[in-house]
Amino acid sequence: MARRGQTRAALRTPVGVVSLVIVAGLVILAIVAPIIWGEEARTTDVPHLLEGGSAEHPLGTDNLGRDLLARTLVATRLSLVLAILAVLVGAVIGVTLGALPTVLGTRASRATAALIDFTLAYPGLLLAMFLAVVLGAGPLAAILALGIASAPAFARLTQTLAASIAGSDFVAAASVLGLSRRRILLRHILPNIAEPIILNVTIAVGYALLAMSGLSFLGLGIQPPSYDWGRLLNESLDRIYVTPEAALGPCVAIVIAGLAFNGLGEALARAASTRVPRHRPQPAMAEDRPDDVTTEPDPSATSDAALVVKGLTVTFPGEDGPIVPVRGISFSVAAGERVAIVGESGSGKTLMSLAVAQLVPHPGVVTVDRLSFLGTDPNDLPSAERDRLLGTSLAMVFQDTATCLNPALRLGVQLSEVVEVHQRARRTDAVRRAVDRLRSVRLSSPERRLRQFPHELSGGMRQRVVIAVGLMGEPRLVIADEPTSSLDVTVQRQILRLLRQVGDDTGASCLFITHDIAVATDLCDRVLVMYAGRIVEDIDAASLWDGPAHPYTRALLAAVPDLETDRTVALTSIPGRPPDVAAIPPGCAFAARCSFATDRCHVEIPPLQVDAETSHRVACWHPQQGRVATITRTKVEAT
Amino acid sequence: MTALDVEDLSVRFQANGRPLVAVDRVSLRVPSGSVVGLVGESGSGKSTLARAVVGLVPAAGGRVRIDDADLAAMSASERRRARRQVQLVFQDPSGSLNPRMTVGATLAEAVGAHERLGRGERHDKVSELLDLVSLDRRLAASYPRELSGGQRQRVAIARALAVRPSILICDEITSALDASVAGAILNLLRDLRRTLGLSILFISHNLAVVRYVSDEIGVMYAGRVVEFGSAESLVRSPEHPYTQVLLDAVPRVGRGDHESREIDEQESLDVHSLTGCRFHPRCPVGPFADPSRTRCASEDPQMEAPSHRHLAACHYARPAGSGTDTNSSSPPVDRTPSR
Repeated sequence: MARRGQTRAALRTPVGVVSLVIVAGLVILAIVAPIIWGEEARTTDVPHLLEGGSAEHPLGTDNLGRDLLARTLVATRLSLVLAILAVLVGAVIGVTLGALPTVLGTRASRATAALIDFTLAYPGLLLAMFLAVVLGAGPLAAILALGIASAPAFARLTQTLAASIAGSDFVAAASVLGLSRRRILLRHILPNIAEPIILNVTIAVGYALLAMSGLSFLGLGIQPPSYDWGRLLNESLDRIYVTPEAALGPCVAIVIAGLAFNGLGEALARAASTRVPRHRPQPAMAEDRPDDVTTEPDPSATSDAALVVKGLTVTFPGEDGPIVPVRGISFSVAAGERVAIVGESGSGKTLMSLAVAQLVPHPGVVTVDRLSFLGTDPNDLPSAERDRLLGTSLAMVFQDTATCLNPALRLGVQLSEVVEVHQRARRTDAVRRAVDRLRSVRLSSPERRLRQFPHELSGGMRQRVVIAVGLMGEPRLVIADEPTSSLDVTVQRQILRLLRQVGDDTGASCLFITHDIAVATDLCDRVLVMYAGRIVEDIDAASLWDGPAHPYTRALLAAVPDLETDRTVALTSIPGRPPDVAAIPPGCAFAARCSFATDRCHVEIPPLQVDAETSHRVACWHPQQGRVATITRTKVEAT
Repeated sequence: MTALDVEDLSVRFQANGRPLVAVDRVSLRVPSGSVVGLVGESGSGKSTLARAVVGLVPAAGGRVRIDDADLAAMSASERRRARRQVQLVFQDPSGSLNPRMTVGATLAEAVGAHERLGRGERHDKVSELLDLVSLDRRLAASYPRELSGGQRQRVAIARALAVRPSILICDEITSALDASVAGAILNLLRDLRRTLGLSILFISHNLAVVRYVSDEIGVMYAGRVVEFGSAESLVRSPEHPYTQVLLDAVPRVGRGDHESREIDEQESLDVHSLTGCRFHPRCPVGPFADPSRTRCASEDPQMEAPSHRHLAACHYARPAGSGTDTNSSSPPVDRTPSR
């Protein structure tokens, strides 16, 4: 029901409220006006022909002495009904025409598309006038003319929307099942495009009101003795210099009604396209941290660490109290060390890395007991200095290379701007450095690359460029968030090797975020496993195969087949699903899915305990031992 | 039980105004009741092949046979009935379920696709399907957005099973899922294969996953199957250099950095229009590594079985020399093409 709530919220904007009130008023008027003022609007008053405004007739009278105010009010019904009918005719013709290409064969659908393109080339109002002349004067002709004239726009909209839905997998699945095209259209395509079409119908009513009034004004629409606003305007216009108020009524009515329908449509469209937060974000204070968030001990924090994080918490405002996706995380990365953060979707691993880079999106609030990057807390620095520190010493590499490079800029500009902004380097120096960096990420012919655009490179090459951008400064820490997840395995190997080499060459540390524990051990010295916003295990990559202690880490290892997995045995699967970040249960968050869980696990949060000798950390009341390969199937449940 | 035969299947597209052969005369057999894996990187044509088999993209040539019945030789209505037997499960379960239909409605529609059933019968069938994929029957009233990724993929599998197919094509069905969930889906597939006697074409870029579920594996590169053999044999003694590179690239826990054959990344899509072996510009043992091997750039290698273990399309095919190979590594053998 979130959708309905959103619509309501959008309608609460000033434009939405005003438009809605006016439209409601017009509808009521259309119903009651002919009943209340119908008699008055028909009554001829021979002594008062063509009069100006008076107490008795505020807007004056027409050539038969009929009250113009009453006639304007009564005309609301006909004006609205005509406009709405015209739009409905247009929508029915247009949607049918636009939907045909998805139902017809290739050749017929091409012909339909060409027809739509052809008709779209004509200005709507001209087409309507032409059709009205051809079809003859009168309301029915006007409705048809206007409907046909507005159909191409609906057809194009429907065609575009339907084409995008028709390309989706669920339509493909329906077609593989052997469902008829008609059924696919009615059940799968139309319901998914109905919303934007209804919005456009609302907006179109506003335009149709204007267009219909225009036709009537020109004498093509409504014929006497019937009258709508356009007809009234036609009759009053020749007296505009004598009694301007006579023309005022229909004019104002047309403008207000047109604006109101447009405003309502726009408000609805905004409601559909944007997610309006239902709760205004409140700036959270440090005290807002939930009680169950505790700071984890971290023995590896040394004075020369590249990064020290203590008690890092990220909070978002939620409907029922704050949501805490990252819950008091502590870890450190030594100079030159490569640390992997492994977790599934929703574990908070990406948010945690964004918090370190000071990039948590609004309205998230980051609190931290201690954050030290190269010995200083970026938050203590003036903002210009902080930007320079993070801009030159921290490099970020993201998963989606297509979006983290600007598609409109040549690679040379994107590389050199880093040093031009932060180190005020001269252009030529910056370019020389860019060539050098591209060579260091082993891209062939770097000089040529500088003139290329991102789309000219493959995914792996783009990722190399992103890494080169990070290397334009003097990075001491590279944060790489799933940098290889969208790449092919052969390319993945090369990027991992490159990251390793960058670390060896520059001495930079690396924080590598991934969902794939095998990839993590390929690159990193140490692995931090996250679950529901906490670190549950912190272990040497080399010890991982000999047996992690946390049941979750063990299950993760056992759930993924490798090239040696016994094919005759079912994989270990973790029953249930990770907890919702908005409702993390008390005690150990993994307890509900853990086969070793006892009552204590559901109540008490296991602290992250340190093994003094190995500095292996684990947060579990029942740590396990031994190789994971021996784990066999537990139970299969719906996940 | 039913077998699927793909013979010389080709699919052509227009890419930037140039014709591109996405699938190039691929032949493949999924024997009844067995699982055949298809592995390859993006752009290798494996998904296009799947879509062509179920009729989502038109084939430019070749044949698809279901139990020796040629689809192309059938009338439209016969073909529609025959196609029911082959169902496709997609990668992304959030995109493959209609967001405006409940789980129950989605399954009921699929159940009614080929037979007329009463409301009560349909309801019973929907419950049976949910049981089959180990989902709570009460989920029938839920919308896809209320389910987790794993649950959605189970619904997608249940929908495919609704028309009682004998062949299931799984296109990267675990790639969009978290590791812990993906394992459960693979287990489900194992169970379904056994209980329903399904023949399965399992497509994935992940060689470890493909090896785990498949009896036989085909390796695709640039629209062609370049190596085909039993899962164990192919993984233990790959003969095509591309398969060897792929195997080396599989990340393994506890292995750390290791020496491996690496290949340069493909720079353009022109790979489809190369003469000779399409892998030769990147091949670690091809003409760029050994200039005497000019044949690779001129002669198209055919699928052969030099070692009688499995088929490989390479002029210099040989078992891998290191690491995963348990057989004795033989020196490269220069073979004359059988043409």
